[in-house]
Amino acid sequence: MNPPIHSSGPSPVRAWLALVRFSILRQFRLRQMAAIALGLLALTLFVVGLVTARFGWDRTEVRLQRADPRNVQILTGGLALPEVEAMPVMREALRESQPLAVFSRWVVFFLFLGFLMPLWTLSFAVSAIGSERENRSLVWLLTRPIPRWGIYLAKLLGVLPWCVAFNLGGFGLMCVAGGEVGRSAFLLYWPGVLVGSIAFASIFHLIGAWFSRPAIVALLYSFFFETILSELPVPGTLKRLSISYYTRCLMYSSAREADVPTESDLLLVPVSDPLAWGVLLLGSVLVTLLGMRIFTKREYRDEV
Amino acid sequence: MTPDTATSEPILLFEQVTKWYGPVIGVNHVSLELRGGITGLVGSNGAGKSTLLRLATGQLAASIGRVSIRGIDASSWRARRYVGYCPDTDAFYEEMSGREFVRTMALLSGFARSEASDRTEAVLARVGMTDRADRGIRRYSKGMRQRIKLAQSLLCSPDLLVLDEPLSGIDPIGRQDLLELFRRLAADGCCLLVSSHELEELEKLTDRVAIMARGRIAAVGTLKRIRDLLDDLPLTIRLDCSEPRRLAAFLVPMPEVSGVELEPRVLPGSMPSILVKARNPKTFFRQLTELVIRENIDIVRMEALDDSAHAILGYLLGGSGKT
Repeated sequence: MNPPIHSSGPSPVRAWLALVRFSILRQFRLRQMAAIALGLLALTLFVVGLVTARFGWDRTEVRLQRADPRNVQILTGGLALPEVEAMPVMREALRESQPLAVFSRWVVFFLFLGFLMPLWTLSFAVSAIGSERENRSLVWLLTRPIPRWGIYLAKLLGVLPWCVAFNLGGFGLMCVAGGEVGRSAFLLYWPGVLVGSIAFASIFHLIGAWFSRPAIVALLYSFFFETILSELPVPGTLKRLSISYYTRCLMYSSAREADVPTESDLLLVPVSDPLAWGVLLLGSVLVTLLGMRIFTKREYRDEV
Repeated sequence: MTPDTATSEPILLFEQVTKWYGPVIGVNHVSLELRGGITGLVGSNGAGKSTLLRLATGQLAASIGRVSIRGIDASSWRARRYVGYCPDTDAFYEEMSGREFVRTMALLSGFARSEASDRTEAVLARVGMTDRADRGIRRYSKGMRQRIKLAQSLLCSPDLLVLDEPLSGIDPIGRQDLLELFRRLAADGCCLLVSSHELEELEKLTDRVAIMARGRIAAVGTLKRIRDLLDDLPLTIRLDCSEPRRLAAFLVPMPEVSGVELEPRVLPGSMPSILVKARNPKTFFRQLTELVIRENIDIVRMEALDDSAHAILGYLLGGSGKT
């Protein structure tokens, strides 16, 4: 029995769209990495929820106990309180201790941006092509009538919704666990999370297609480049090569507009919003184009 | 499948193709032209068979030379519309059923949903998997997995069907079914390139083979033609006789005999035998006949061990011929 011949015949566009859909659904099957991401999310939610419930995010008292003006107040028996509070250093200390600022610094900038967002994105994006290589199922895609660059792009589009949804969703849940402060933080920072997710997804997808041990390379890149560069409170130009830096700039800018002190601009040396958006989005496009070229030229002889 | 296999344009064409993997050469200066029918590809491990098949299916690009399918560069996605490929790797999307897998491959080949379903059913029927296609692939036997791989390769009604070890793991009855299927596909105009270690099976399927050795196509043609070319090359013969040592003593001084080896008895009471390596088979057989009559030696069985593709391979590789 020969396959029946239909009038429409095969179409490369239809094949590509089918691959996008297949890639989205396939990502759901990659339970191992998703389980790691979910485990981290659960742990984070527990910690944030615990801190919210037990201590809250207002650190004014703690700051006051550490600040020198407090000693002056003790000596004068409270008479000097208005003067103490009017001092610039005291005003800044109180501003930095407000709940939203504390939540932003510790949960959003340090924990989420410096650690969780790269790791969550990595766990999905690296496996888009990486798992096909690892399982030696890439041959089924490479022998379809779809251009190689189309396969790369379809795989990226398949994994992107997962990265964005998990990062935004995970961030949202963390913010919910943070109570009222968290909800304000979500409204401030979600655009940065969105564009950061796209940029991270594009670079980790490239790593998945390029390196034969993509998960290890991506982890090394994430920890030794993105995390360390973005967390180190030092000025310099090297950090401008990292995605975290531009995402941080966007978030910093949103916080500053809301009068929430997050970082020292002397150390961060932030770039303007348009530049940060431009670098993240244009960088994602360029990295994707580079990946399409690499995937077209690369030979996967050991993985098929 | 297009039935115009006799047209001037070859279906698969290798033009002086060389493929390097860094400093290692995969295939070396290969020229090959297929216009239809079934061609067997044999060679020892590392001979370059898989590289050649991957070049043909566009998974690898030639370092030097050109590989084309119906005139289109094999590495172009357009060429893949004409090619069906059954890989030797046993990797699937294990969570799928056989039917889901083949249908997914049909959708990824660009067929509309209804057509993908129709083609899926057609190819499943063709490989005899219709009634077992709803089982999960991870629960399939090796033979069933092989049939599913074969089914997906037929989806696009290919002009060129590249089969890498297609009979591996299939039971004898299943083999007959598939061999029959391959013959029907060839009769329908599909050009088949079949790589196999099962030389006996390959000989049942086709007498046209391409023999690969050390990255080169050592010989292409019918087994008989290659055999004729090898008339003057050494031949190994097993002789079962009651007096092997006496026979060996007569054979060793013969100029046409390059080696004699006494074979141990396989079973107690079985006839002993010797292996004789003859330089020129025609002359040797004439001299052996004269010797047997003159010395009244009782030879109960004579078997030319290399009167098969195994032997041809052995000659060309300078080895045992075993692959």
